Amino acid sequence: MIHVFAAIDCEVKALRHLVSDDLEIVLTGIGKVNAAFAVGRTFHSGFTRQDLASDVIINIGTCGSDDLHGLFLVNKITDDAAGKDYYPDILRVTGLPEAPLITVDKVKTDPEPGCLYDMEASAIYLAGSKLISPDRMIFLKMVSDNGDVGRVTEASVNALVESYVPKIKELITMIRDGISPLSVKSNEDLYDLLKASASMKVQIDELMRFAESMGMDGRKLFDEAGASEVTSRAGGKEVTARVRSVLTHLS
Amino acid sequence: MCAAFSHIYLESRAEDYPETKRLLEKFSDSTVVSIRHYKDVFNRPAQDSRLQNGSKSLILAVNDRKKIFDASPVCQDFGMGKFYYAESAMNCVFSCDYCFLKGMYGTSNVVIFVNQEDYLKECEEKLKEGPVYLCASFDTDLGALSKVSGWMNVWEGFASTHPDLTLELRTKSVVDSFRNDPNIIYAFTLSPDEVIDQFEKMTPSLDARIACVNQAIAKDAQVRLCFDPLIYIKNFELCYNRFVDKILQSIDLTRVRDISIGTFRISSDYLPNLRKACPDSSAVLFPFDREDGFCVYPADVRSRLIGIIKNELEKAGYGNKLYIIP
Repeated sequence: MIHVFAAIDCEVKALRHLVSDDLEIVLTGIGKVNAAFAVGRTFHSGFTRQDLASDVIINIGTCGSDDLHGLFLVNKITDDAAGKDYYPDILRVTGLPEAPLITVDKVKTDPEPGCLYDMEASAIYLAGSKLISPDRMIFLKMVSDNGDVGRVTEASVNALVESYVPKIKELITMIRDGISPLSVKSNEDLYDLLKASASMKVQIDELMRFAESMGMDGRKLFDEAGASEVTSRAGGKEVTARVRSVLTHLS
Repeated sequence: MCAAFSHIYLESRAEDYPETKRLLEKFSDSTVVSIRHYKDVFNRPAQDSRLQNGSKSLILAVNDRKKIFDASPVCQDFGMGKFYYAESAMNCVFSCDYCFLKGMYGTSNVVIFVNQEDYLKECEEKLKEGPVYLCASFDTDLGALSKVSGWMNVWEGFASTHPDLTLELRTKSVVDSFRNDPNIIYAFTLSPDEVIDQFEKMTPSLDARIACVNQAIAKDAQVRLCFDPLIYIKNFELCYNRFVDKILQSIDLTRVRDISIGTFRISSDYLPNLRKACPDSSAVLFPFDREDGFCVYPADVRSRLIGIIKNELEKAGYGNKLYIIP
């Protein structure tokens, strides 16, 4: 699932055409607390890293800058108040220019050159990093102003974000192509046949994965070792030991 | 091979070192990101080292803590006394499935420490206490990095002027220059092509490594051959028998200083990360025995693997050159 986080309503409206079965847009509200809350609400406490192994966070929004113009991929996020830096992994060739971003608590009216300024990214990164790896957190920022927010209107933000939607779509296609969740095969039927204890289950999983990596049919090895005739846990242990012996003596 | 790095993360305090300037010039196409401390990037939680493998980043940093460490007890010390390793760089431009670095670091990015003089000073302090045996290519492959970093030359130059230092430079790479100082040992890890193709990604072929060994021998350099780690694969007896025959035919072992033999072994703490990094690799999915905190092959498998190499080399008259980790 791709989760797009945007801070203000007119950004969300401009991005609405991106919504699909595997992409949601979440309105965070302005500022770090709102942003962290929105991420926390999205990835509630029941999720583990494994559950979210193919989920992606994209923070899309407008930002300020003294001298930069356009759409940027953020390669460094500094939390201005905390003095902490965060680094999303840039592992895809996107063709987008990159820039560092500083997340501030109040609008920066005198931005330094060479930097982008926003009010949410560090919180999204920090909250997201509890469950999502740094290569699956992407920060796209488009410059709307140079700190003089009085000139920014809903209409101008909407138009700015909409103008970059085709480029954002390209990037999302690239992200979708790169998502390859690890498949975890269940060996439940073998556990039952072998009357497996918790530690035996670990051994069975290990042997099945090793057999597969050696290009062998692990299930067939267990069948040949007598898995279907097991009547007790001790018998299951013997079968597991036989399979281990076969797999470790393939010379 | 000269690795290209998409990004260079640069510690502010590393900016003025000559090695930094040289590397930034060499990789002028890389995007440079300024950082406070290398750990902010290198030690990020839950990095996808598999994905990073296809797009490694380089981190340039200053090491302000200990630089030279006591070697691990599972490393062969070749009968030398004070055995240390230097952390000149962290991680490798190669990507071997079974490498302990994958288990230890949880990232594929490479750190090069640029304060080379500080390392040499620390080594000089160790030398004041007596002769030192130093493995300088331990947390990395300095030979492979030699196309990038000047570290290998730095250590070679230092060893040339410090005869009490025995320097080991271990590599799977094809190094193109050698010194013939008696205290500089070029240690080449050799594996059958079947193992190289499956598990030692981005490394040179066996033929290329053998050619490099012969080049070092021709230059009268001290050469060590490392048949370590021996890896369990299908038909390993046939495969390693052919391999050792090839070595005997292609390399004049009378001119090799010594030969180490060992089977794959890894700290139990590192195996989960290794399996995460290489989830389909039989090299790390093997159902290992656990012994004293290490994952090892069962004793009979270890004995058979080592026996193949040991017996052939003994038969050929090189038994006195062997160092074996049982």
